[in-house]
Amino acid sequence: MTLTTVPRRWWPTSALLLATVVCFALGGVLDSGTLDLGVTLLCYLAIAQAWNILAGFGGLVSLGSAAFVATGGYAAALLLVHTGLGWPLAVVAAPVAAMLLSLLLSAALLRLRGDYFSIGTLAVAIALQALIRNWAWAGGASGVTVPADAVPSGGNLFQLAVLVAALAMALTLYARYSDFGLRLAAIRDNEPAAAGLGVAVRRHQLAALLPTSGITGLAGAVIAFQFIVISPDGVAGVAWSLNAVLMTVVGGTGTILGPVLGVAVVYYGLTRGLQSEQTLSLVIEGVLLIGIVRFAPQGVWPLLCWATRRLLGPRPGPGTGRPVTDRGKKDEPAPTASEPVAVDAV
Amino acid sequence: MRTARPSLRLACAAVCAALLAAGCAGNSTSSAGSSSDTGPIVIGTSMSLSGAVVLTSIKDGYQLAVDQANAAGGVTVDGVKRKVKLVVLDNRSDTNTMVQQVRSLVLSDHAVALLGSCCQQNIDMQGQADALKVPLLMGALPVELLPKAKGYAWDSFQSLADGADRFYELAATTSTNKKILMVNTNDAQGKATGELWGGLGKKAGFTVAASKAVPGGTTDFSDVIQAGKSTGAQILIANMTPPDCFAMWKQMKALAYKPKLAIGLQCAQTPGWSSLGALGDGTLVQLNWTDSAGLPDTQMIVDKFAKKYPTLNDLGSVALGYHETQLLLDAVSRSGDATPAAINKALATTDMSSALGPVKFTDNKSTTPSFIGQWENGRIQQVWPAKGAVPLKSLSGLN
Repeated sequence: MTLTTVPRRWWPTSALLLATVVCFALGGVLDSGTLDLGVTLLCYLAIAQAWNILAGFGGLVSLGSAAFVATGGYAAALLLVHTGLGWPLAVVAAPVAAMLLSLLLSAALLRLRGDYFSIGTLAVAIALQALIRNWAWAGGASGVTVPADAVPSGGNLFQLAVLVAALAMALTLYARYSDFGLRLAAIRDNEPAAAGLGVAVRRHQLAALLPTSGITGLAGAVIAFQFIVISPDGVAGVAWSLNAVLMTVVGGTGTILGPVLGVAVVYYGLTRGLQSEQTLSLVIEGVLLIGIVRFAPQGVWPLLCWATRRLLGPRPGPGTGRPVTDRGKKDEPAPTASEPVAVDAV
Repeated sequence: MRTARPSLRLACAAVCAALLAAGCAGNSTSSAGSSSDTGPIVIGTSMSLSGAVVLTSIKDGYQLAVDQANAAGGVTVDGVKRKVKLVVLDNRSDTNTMVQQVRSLVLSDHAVALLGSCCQQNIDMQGQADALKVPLLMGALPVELLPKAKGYAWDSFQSLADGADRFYELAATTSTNKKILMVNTNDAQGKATGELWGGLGKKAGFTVAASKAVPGGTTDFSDVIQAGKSTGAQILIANMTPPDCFAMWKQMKALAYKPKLAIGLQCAQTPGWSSLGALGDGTLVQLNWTDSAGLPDTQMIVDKFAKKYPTLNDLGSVALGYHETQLLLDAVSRSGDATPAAINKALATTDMSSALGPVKFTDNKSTTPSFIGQWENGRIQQVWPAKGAVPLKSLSGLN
């Protein structure tokens, strides 16, 4: 089968598989500094993508990512420290713990709407941080030290991070192209209308919340393996939530590649690139966020696609003799309930 | 069903790849340091230079020692003079940023050794030093608080016990009812400090009338103050971050709580204390350095920095940074090959006198002297030990 015979709807999946295989292979090639940077970027990508599914596709604007990062990180670390079980089990425990937390909280949180949901999730993150800080078994304010010899590092940790990020990307593709994603978008756009058409609102929101919490928890475990010492101020810090929002909003909410671009711009371009000028970095991050929200609320990625399209100019549509319109030709946010799903809009 | 033009996808992907490539290129050129035998020796640090804690004075001490070493042609390693490159990164007082920066310093910039930040961040940094197997030399963490770990973190600083002893010696010379109100942050450092100061206080004949643990960022201290008032505690020991202390001092004034002695651990050591104005007058502070104790390099530090840093605690921070870096450079010089493992080994055999006094490590710790100072009109003066001290004044800010 040649490339041209691959159905177009499989292209995003094929591209993700290819990217995963290539990145996985890079784990044995790259130097330690690049691998460490890669782990950080991939963890941010997984967290941002999970937030993107929940907020961009599901309309649930969460500020609670930090709670699930902390739950995953601490679950993995405590399992290693207190039971001596191997890291693969810790990797399994992290998303399970995060999903259990989200399941527990969902009864209350999913009753909240709009800003109240955001504030509720923020409260959860802050409360969990305070709980951990005062929980002696979890190391209290000093945190927990993960046995460095018992967890993957270097290339292996990078490969684990690749798999976590790939899982997050796959989940995003599913949310983008599946019927489930379409129903989720319908709830986002008009909840009463969606409910009126027979969409089970609470069940769909829970179905979005659980796996995204799991992905975030999984990223938390990788972060714990990377940080070695995890403390309430670090792994449970609200900064994880804010970064997830910032990266996704900058890149493009409700798009597949937006968070990828957002992570690159915010962490790699600003935080890391300007690490000797941290105050300037903060100012630029703030200005960028305001600028994006004010002038390009869809984010940088859709803007970039639009600009590229303008540069290349319109061309006649196939068999019509008319120029193809902008509609359907950009990486749009997830389709609204009244729109068909564009299988190849990335 | 809609389809997108392959050219559009290709163009978008190309722009994205170009952006990433540009970013990658920028990073590769920013990599500093060298592990070669003759190139500069890279020493890195991730410090709080903005945010809740600002350690500019310690950074100046680091830079002073490195500049002096480079002015002398560099550090002699195995008979060869090698320049030293100090890479200082601001972690914005954020733990995640600190961890990421430390890893970047070691793995990308090839730093062969690290210098510390302050307080809890030093403990967090210790884990990275152990994991990355790179020596970390720190101060600004009382030696009792350095956790036992894998041996790559070294702490040369004052001890809580010495500071408490000096304080109780001073307090015994004053007329109080010997009742203490103790307020600590509820983190590990706060708990350890509270237990140690409380225990030593009892031994010295004092009573902890009330003890409170508060989370960092507390703004309402009314219950703490009420506890002090109701128990009649005339001595206040407050071990908190500066913003919390500032809030508590203001509320003590507002609620008319008037202890006779008050010491601010952590908080009164920062230059921001002077912003309290008259309210901060009379507050005691534990010092790691004074200009009247006859410590090495005192005059040089005063001459270079007294204009920039008029207060004793800031000058003490410069001395601390200078002290740490001197110890590290000494170990680099004795290491033979300036590799992290060799430097770590050399640190264990340190035997020298630096800006904070003589240093010899036992269990990775070396205790430096402690002094008690007192704020008065925006300045700190040594009030204990008696040698080189000025007479103790009243706690005028709260009375």
